[in-house]
Amino acid sequence: MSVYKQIHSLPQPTLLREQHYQYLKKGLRHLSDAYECLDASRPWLCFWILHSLELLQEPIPAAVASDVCQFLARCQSPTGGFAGGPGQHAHLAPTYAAVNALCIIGTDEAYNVIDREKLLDFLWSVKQPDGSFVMHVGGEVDVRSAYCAASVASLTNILTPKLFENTTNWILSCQNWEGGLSGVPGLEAHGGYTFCGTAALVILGKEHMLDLKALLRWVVSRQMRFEGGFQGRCNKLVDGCYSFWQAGLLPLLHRALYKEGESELSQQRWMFEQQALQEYILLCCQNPTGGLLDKPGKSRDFYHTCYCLSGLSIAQHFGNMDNHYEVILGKEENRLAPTHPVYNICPEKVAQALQHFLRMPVPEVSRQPGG
Amino acid sequence: CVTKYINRKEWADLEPVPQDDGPNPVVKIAYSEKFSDVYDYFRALLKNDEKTERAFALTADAIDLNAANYTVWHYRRVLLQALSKDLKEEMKYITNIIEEQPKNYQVWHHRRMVVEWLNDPSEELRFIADILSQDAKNYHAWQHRQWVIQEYKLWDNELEFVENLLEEDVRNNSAWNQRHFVISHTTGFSDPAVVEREIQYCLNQIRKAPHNESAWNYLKGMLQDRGLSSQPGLLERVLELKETHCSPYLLAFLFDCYEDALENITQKEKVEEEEQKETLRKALEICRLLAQEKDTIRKEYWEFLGRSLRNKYGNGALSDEPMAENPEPSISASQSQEAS
Repeated sequence: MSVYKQIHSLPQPTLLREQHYQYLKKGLRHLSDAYECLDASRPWLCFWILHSLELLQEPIPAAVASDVCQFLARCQSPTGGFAGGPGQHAHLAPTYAAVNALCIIGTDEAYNVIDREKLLDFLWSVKQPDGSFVMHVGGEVDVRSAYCAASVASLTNILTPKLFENTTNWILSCQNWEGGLSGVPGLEAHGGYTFCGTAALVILGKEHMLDLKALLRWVVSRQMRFEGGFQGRCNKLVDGCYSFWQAGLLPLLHRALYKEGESELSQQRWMFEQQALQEYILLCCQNPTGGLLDKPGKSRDFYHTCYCLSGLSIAQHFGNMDNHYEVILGKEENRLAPTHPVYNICPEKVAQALQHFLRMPVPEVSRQPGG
Repeated sequence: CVTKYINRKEWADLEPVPQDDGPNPVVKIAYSEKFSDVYDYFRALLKNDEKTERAFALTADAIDLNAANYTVWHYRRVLLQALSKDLKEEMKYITNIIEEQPKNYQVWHHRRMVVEWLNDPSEELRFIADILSQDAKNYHAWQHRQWVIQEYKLWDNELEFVENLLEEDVRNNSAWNQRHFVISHTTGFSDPAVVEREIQYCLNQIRKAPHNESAWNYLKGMLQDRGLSSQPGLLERVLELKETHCSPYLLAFLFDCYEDALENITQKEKVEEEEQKETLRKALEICRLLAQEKDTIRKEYWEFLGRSLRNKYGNGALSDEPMAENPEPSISASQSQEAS
């Protein structure tokens, strides 16, 4: 009761740090049977929870970190890549999540879990001749796969141009008449897929090949003028998770335009209404007992907790080569750690992982591409 | 209540395999007894690579408990082939599963595989239409629909299908996208008669629902490759609408027309410098109007566009005069500021 009053009567919106921390701390160990539907996504649960904790600047006890490493090691497939759970087949989404989670932990134990040679074999096994990737052997194609592959390959230093041959053109073919990107060519522009395609191109150094102006127009138009949050597609409803998938595009586009010689970019703000997004998240997306959510009336879950907090961080922190400018709605205690707009883990963890893996040679390929 | 596998005589020969989460599990799910029972036996089947009828039956139970388990779906497909199962029956099965769980990746991918194996798309358009009647924007459904249409060349009635959906909800952006999909893969947008018909269609929908962003986006999206100012009379028609059917989308469209005009003037025709200045002035006025009054949520964006346009086409850009100063205040590094 008192927390409800707190949210709706105090002059300042408050991030319910302690409540979110307890929710996350518990979930990292135990989940109710309501989570049976995510039994093939357990590395995701690790990532969503660990990333939320790192944004809240809550330390991960060494014992817990080690347990996560050992669990993710059991999720690693003998043929490379990570699966949704022990004994399952490898899949690019839990592979992305596992590598990110291990990089958040950032210990040698964590880095050593990843079998880089086998990971490269796995990526080759899901690569398609047209440049796309299937999500798993015998599985579906969409632009998420390119992002997952590019993310893990770049972080662990197994990326070669050959691995991503034709991938750039395939991703570019996903930009449509709306200016955003679709899951596969021909479909409607969608925030999640647009983020994946754009971030993948940034990793490949090819983001300039997009129609950046059209993409910029599309994404800024996805911020809802009344709610302040973002919708995933034109004429659909707001959802807290798009606070990251959509708003996270603005730092990427800012940098892309800067590299293209754009001289009129702001040096203080992203090209979305940062305060309004923070208001939406803090006033509409928090569960009083901990965890964040899509919109009022929906249930909390770890996915929305991760992406609402990630979006809040994007809205709080502006940074380019030379400066860092903060806009914190409410008390200073609402401040989250900054997040890297490409990988969505903290920038220090990205740098640390790159430094670690760049010391190692890129593995030789031992298998042929899949069909 | 169904008997657990552990208590079924026909399964007594198989030793269930418990999940190996390790000694100190994380993200440990409190599975129901039913869930653990089925998956312990699934793991046993997988371990032995068993390809039997009972294995096939078990996959249905495993799917029922977690339809997102892609390992189970893959195994089911292996069994469908190894046991030469009746794929028409499988179509019935997957139809029911999708009706229950239409927002799951695996179920749609499975249906696509079965349709491919049968080489029979005859039920697809009707089935997808039924799913769309329950959720007209289901992304998986549209993806499957586009695949079927493209793979089996079923274009003939799709524009009519789209128009019906737009009749029901003119704001259905998925339907607008499908419209673009059908036309670009059939007549294309090069035919002037097609373009004129589509412009007419858009303007009619805009008159009925002026604040429908989809219609405006479609109008722009269709014309942008050729350039908005390439369509004679369009600017005038939009200016007419401005009086009675104004919206932030109309204003943005006008801005885009002016920007396109500036883009093309400087490249091709000899135009009065006055006329160019006037176009720039009108474009900048719209930016200001949108940033400050009509579309303030996008203030940062409209102000950026205004600065960009001024920089590119403004006073200093066309002659040797020095450029106007960037009106933004300069800031020092690592500043921090609380919003109100």
